[in-house]
Amino acid sequence: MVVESDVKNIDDMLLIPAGCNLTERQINILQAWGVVEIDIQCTPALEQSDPLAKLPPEAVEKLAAEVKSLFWQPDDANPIFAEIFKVMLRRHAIKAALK
Amino acid sequence: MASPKIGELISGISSSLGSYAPVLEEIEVALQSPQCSLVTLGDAIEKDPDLTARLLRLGNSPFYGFSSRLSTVTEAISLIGIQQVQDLILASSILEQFAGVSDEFVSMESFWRHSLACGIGARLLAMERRLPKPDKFFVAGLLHDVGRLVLFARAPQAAQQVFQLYQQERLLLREAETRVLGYDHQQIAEALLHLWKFPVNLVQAVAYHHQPMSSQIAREEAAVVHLSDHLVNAMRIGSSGERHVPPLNMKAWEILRFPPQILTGIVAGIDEQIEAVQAVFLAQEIEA
Repeated sequence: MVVESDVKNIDDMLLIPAGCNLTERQINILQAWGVVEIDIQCTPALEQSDPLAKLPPEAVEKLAAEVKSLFWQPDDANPIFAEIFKVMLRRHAIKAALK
Repeated sequence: MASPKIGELISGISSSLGSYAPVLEEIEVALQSPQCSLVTLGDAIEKDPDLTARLLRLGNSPFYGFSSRLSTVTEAISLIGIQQVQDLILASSILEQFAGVSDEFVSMESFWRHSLACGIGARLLAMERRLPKPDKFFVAGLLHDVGRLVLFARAPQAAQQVFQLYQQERLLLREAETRVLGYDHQQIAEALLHLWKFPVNLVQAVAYHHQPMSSQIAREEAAVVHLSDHLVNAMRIGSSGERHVPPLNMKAWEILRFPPQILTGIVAGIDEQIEAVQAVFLAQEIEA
């Protein structure tokens, strides 16, 4: 999540600048200063929606074959491999869309 | 031709860490003194303008994600911590040690990009797992394939044989190393890091990153580096010569006890940090 506008305390001291990625550490800072609400940037549509949904089925199939070929021992029956494969497929689709 | 022994590869490598060694030594001495202060430590680092610039640039990058801008070394030490600053100096000195290795086998930019990404991933995984000293994991990830650099630099003919076999047969690069040399890059790194007197947990995290469960004392650390290396290989961020993603050790995954859902965030974190971290560590010179 990216902070939309500067977050300041009641003394106008900058706690988190706009554009900063919100991390657990920064959430702790906000809690320490009693900040209960901040503005967050809208997630770009590309990340919000499934990037694979924008591709034709044959393109998804081709990309999936390319990503799978990277792995030495792809094992679709293994749920951890399946999750890693899913993450990588989405990432490669986003990268391809950004090119 | 007989393959070189590991001891022969390591012999002649300096046991000190190049031009950053005096700074690290000065910090160590300062820390022993009861009068040690942030200013004393800052003064020791500021004697090296290039190191100062790298430290501030990293401190102001998404790697740390601080809410305010760091402008002095003392600010950086107080926010990042002296132990972490020492680790960053160590990382810089390691890159400096291998600055002259040629691109004959692997592009060095690609090698270090892969290594830095593995370091970032290992640090993020350690933070997610709430392990102490996550910056140590950055150093372990950065060093995980350093044994290959020693091989490229000290025994190019043997490295050539490894790559020939790797091209001819369906093997992982590590398997080709073992077939040609009788050992692999993990064991070379282990000998090198012992020479440099690195802490034993860090040595084992590097020396067992392909088989973490074989480590006697640093399984969790080695498992973190193993998982990070697996992800970074799959992300295709740089390369240390391996064209496939080596298999994930499921026992290593199990001891880390991560829910699979964390992977999306770790991969996004690596993507978010890699350009800034590469700019800090791979820039030839940084203007203060």
